[in-house]
Amino acid sequence: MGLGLLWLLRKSRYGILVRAISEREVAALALGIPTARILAGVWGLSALLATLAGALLAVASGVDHNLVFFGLKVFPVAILGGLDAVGGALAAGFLLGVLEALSQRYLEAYLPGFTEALPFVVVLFVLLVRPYGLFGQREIERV
Amino acid sequence: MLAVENLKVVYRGVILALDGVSLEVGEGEAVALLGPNGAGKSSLVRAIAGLLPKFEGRVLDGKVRLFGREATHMDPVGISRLGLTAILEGRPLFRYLTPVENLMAAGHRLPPKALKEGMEEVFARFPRLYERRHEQAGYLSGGEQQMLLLGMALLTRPRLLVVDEPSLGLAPKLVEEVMQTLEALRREKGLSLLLVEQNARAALGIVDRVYVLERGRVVFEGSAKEAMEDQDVMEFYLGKEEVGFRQARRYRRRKRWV
Repeated sequence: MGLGLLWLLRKSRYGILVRAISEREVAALALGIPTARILAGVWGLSALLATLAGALLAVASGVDHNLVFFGLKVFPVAILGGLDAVGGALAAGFLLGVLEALSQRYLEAYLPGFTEALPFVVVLFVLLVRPYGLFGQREIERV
Repeated sequence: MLAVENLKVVYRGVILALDGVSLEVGEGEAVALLGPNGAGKSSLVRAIAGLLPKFEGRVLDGKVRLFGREATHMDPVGISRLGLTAILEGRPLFRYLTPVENLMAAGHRLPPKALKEGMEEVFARFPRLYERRHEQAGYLSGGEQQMLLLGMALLTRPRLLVVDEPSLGLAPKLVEEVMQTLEALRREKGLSLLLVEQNARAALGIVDRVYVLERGRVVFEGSAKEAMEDQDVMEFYLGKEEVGFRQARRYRRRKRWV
């Protein structure tokens, strides 16, 4: 599904319009692109996906008061991948999952509880080197 | 085709940008709108394109008629459908998209086949764009960006094209090239053109008529020939100033204008 979303945004005509609007709304309007309608569609789609993800999560791990902490973990994933990169979120999610599992297995003995903090530590260091995230778009600068 | 009547525009309710401007562009005609910084040229463009609300501005008084329809408070999408395309100032392309994607975005109303043909036509006209069609548009040179913008405007299939300061930041040779391209497009497609410029010399070469805007008002109106013969226009916009009593003369003329 993530890959489908990626295709939609990168290759389809609709996705190109979405990216155009997100970069320069006024310019899009001047070309007659119906920005309001497309933005409504994007919001709808994101609501749909969030709901779906929530339902899947509930099925997989149940719902309890610790759910907040899961929500917290989503931020490092999004930031690490790059806020504007769908593929980045996929890759970052996978990467952090693997790192967490490894740390759980090998580091927990020496640093108890470190696994909880790991995603945030990783994000900190990655942002030092790539402020736009691993797959985010580089700011265009021309001299 | 386009008729602006006594248009008054304010920003944030208090800043008066246009103070009763009237202007016309006829079918197939090329008109230049000249004027110094802050004269209200871009405000007029925004008003015509229905984009004022995006700049915290609104039309206080007056009318805009487009292709015989009342369009004063029409939304930008509706205006674009009627056949007006405005290229705003400051190279408003999508810098993170490639030229191909920029063109696809601009041709959003075209069916796939027409879009493909339209893009081929643009690339045939501007071979440089074809070479760099998969690079991010933000890295194109100023001249290439301007050509891409013209290509994008073509794919919206306009009947009236409004271009705001295409010469800005371009070398004189490129300015000349942009003007020639505009002229050629107008001929081939039978477009009407409203060219907003500070570079009067460049603009005068390709237009039929001229308006000069100053402090929100039209201070000169006439054919391109008349503009070139007019002392004031020549002095203020073509830099042909007389030596000696320059300041005094300037003051006297200015007074006569306003």
